[in-house]
Amino acid sequence: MTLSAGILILILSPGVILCKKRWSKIYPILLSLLGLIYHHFLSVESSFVVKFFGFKLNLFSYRLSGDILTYAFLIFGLCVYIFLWSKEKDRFYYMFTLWQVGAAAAILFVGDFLSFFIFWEVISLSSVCILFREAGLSLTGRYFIYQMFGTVSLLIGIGLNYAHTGGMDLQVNTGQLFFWLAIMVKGGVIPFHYWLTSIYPEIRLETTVFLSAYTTKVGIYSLAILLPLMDLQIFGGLIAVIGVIYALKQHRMSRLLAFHLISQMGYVIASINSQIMYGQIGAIYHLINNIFYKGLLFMVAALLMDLFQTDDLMIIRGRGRRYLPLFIITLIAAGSIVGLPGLNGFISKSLIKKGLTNSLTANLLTIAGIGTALSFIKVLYYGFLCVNDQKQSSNSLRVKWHQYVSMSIIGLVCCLIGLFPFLVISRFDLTVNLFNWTDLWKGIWPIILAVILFITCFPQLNKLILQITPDLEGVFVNARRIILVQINLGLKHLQRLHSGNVQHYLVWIVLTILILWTYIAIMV
Amino acid sequence: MELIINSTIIILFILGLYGLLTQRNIIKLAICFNIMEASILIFFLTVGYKPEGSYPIIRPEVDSYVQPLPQALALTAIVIGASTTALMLAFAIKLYKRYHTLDIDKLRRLRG
Amino acid sequence: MNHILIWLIVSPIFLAAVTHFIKKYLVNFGFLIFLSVSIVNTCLSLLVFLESGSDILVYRVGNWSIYKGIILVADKMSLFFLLFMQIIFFFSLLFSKGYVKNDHGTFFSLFYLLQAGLTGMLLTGDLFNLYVFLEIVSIVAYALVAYDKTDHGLEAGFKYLVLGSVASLIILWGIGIIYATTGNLNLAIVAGLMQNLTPLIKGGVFIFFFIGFGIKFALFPFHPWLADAHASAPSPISALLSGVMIKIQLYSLIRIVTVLYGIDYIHDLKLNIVFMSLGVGSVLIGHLMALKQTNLKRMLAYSSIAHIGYIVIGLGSISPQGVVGAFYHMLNHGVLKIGLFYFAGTLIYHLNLKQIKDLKSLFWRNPFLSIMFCIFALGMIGIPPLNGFFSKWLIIMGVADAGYVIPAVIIAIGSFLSLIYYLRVVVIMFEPARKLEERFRIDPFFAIPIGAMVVCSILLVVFGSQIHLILHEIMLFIRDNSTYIQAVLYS
Repeated sequence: MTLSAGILILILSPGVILCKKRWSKIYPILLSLLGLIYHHFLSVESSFVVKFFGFKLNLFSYRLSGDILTYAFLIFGLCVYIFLWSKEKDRFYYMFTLWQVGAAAAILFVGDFLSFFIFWEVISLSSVCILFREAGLSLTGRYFIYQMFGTVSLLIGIGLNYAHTGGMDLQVNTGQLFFWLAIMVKGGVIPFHYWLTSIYPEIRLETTVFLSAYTTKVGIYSLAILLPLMDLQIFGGLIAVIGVIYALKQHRMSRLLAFHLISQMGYVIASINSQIMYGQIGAIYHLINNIFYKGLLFMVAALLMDLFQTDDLMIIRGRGRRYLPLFIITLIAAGSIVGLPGLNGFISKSLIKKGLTNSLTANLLTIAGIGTALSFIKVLYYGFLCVNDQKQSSNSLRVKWHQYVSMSIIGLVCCLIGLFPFLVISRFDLTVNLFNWTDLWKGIWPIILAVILFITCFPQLNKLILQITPDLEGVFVNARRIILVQINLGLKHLQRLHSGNVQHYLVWIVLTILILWTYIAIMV
Repeated sequence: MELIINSTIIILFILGLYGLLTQRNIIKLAICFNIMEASILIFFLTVGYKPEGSYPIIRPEVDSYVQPLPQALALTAIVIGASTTALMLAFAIKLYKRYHTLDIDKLRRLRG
Repeated sequence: MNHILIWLIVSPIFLAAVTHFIKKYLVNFGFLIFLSVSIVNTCLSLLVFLESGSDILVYRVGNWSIYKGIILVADKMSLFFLLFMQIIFFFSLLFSKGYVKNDHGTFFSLFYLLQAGLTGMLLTGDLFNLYVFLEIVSIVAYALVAYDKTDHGLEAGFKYLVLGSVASLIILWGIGIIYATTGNLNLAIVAGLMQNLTPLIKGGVFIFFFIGFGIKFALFPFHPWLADAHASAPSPISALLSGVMIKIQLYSLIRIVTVLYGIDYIHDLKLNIVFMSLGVGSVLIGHLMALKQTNLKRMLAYSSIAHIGYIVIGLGSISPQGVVGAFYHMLNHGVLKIGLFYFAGTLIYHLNLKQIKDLKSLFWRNPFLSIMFCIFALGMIGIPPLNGFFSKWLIIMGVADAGYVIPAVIIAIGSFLSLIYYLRVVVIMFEPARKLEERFRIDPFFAIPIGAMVVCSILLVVFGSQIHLILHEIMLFIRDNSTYIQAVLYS
């Protein structure tokens, strides 16, 4: 009988409300540290089953991939709480974020549908609570409705499954479509990404750090738990490419990162259900990497926002050059995401490519890799390198030490698991050496190509992309408007039926009596 | 005899229902409701009725009585029906004071 | 101990008769009398519930034999509902005390008659007695709906009266036919004689009961009165009608159908389909109509219709989980909806706010109320840690397990729709205030019941496993009516 670390955090999270000023900042850090230590010493054989309302809640059934992801979730949570030290956040903010961390860590180990659904919803609910305090209400409402769409579809799927098997074990036997839909909504995958790209740019970026790390990752990870037999290689490849193309269009850091998030999720989707061991491990590895480097990039974006009051690269235009440590950290993060050898992205991308059986997907991922590299060269160039002809405004804002601390921890993790991949891979009882010339060259040539492309013809390329890509969000908005109008019409008809005249209601009753009588007469 | 009573019950009920569905005056609705009620009361009485039975007070010279229970039930139903009718008429008065009409079709502020 | 049962019915009737005098001559501690009676009754029903265990208590009024006299029967199901009802009535009493102004005893007189009638409906073991109590409840309810004597109240009360008395007539027909064919009115005795009925008449009587009670608890094609009546009644009454009364009407139908007909009858005639289709209709109509409402209480009333649909779907599945879920949902919906109506009533009393748009930036004026609303609304939508979720889950799983996929899907979609309309209210409520709005304090008579409902809904989750055991027992009773019949016949 042992709790998982996530549930421990969930149980202890209300404690933050009792804390006074400074302690409310220390408490989450200590709690995630505690969770990390607790998780490290957790026995693999332990299980935790609670009986509730006729169902068995299987709250802890060990999964290797979940084990590793928990480390990533908790380390990242720790770093974010350090990062948030100087921000003005109240106790409730910390409690809700702790819910998110706890539920995300807890869902990795659940063994039945009911507890899966509960934690799935707790993640949504905590996101809603966080957003509610950060963004406008209508935005939160829209987010909630999108999430509810996924939830309902998950619920239907579970219901179908239960009808089919009569059990609550986490095994999908029927209704895969509904589970797929729920996961896609949760993961913010194109074409269900609207909530992601419309909300991330609107909220404070340090909150985005939280949301990007947990909600979408849990969604995609569920693919491995729920739909292990679904072959999504081509779909994943397409997502990766489309995400990158839309990312190239953006010049606001937050939107750009949001589309890259989607694109990177495409890599994971493509290989998480791979039949080859390398592919599965690569996908989990990539999820972990994504948590770290994407979080790091969002932190950079948050700092740029703090320093320059904007995250628009075209306005920043190289003003970041004064912050050398920030540049180095960005370099590490960007290097990770484009798959520069020596950093963690390289390992996971190589593994993913080894795990692909479909050559089309491999090509698609290569294109996505070039696009990613192009996009982040753009970030580095416009953020830090390009020469600004305007007069420098003399702002004396400085990056705080604890922000550097937390970012360096993450950067260090990126380098560490990039240089010594056996730290993660050996847990899967697998040895692989990726530092040979073929793999290195496979990792490097897209980056070189991207550099050449950026130097030679980036403006033309940008123009081309702007021309060929349809405005996805416009399509969404239009579709939503049309649907709403139709629903409204239908509702008006329904309202007219309730005319307020008692005699109409009496007629309904008499008709029902007649119909039911006929039914009984036939059945008898 | 039975046929006459049964058809009376059915005719009364259908008549009441028809009135309830078609009449627009609240008072007429109350009357129609009472007609429906009457049909069911007659039904109750026929249940316990015996053609040769006497009224249900035990006397030595009589050995066949009509059943007393349905009569008791009918009495209760009459009381309940009377209170319902009273309430309906009270509503009619109040509604007339507010809406200045007894037309059920005009009492339609609550709809949708 | 059996005498407690009759006391629970008689004491409210007695109080109803003397409220005028209490109000007039015992001005200062009149309310204390009400309160103490309520507490005593709640404790007594708790006592009976705990003491009875799994026995069925039979109380023969006046010690007549069951073939001649009337009986009161209390089994696990009725006692459980009784306890629930008494607790709710206790808080309603507090709320009414705050809410009702210038009352000379009429309101509380009706209030206690309602309590007596509902208790009678729960405890009676006799068809005609059931009808009498049903009529007491209904007539009192018609009057209470119109108690404020507003235009809307009168109109709603009248419509409710017309439809409700038609329903009573239909039920009376059913009872009359049963008496004519079996010659008895005692449920247990009649159950043994049901084979005397020809199949067509048996089915016809079922339809009479189904439709009659269906109108009373506002099933789908019979629902329009509920939206009018519950929206226009004084708020404590809306809460009682929505939270307790329609559930007890539904309970009466369950009792009649299970004892007289048994589950097999429903299986044989495939009446599940009737339950399911009308339930699905209720869910859809209730949620869809709630989307467009501008009046807060009317929206809540339509949501009640939808939730009655959930319950009927759960009961109609007759799978163990579906039925347990339906009973659990009765409690959950009762508690949550009462809380919501209290919320609406508090606003009407303090600020005279009825429309949803008037709730603008309420949060800045009274955070307590707004947070409570959010909790209730989340519970109604069915978001996991709250009680509404678990019952919804049970119903969906039970229904799906029984092979009815479409109703399960509809319930799932229903939670999506309910999110939209509750969210609309929340969005308006939390809108940032333009100017610094004045805060208002709410009376303890309002705050205590609302807080109590939140506590109740949390307790319903915390003691979920214990409640599940009780509900499971009830479900077993429903599946097999012989225990009830034996207990009554050999009492």
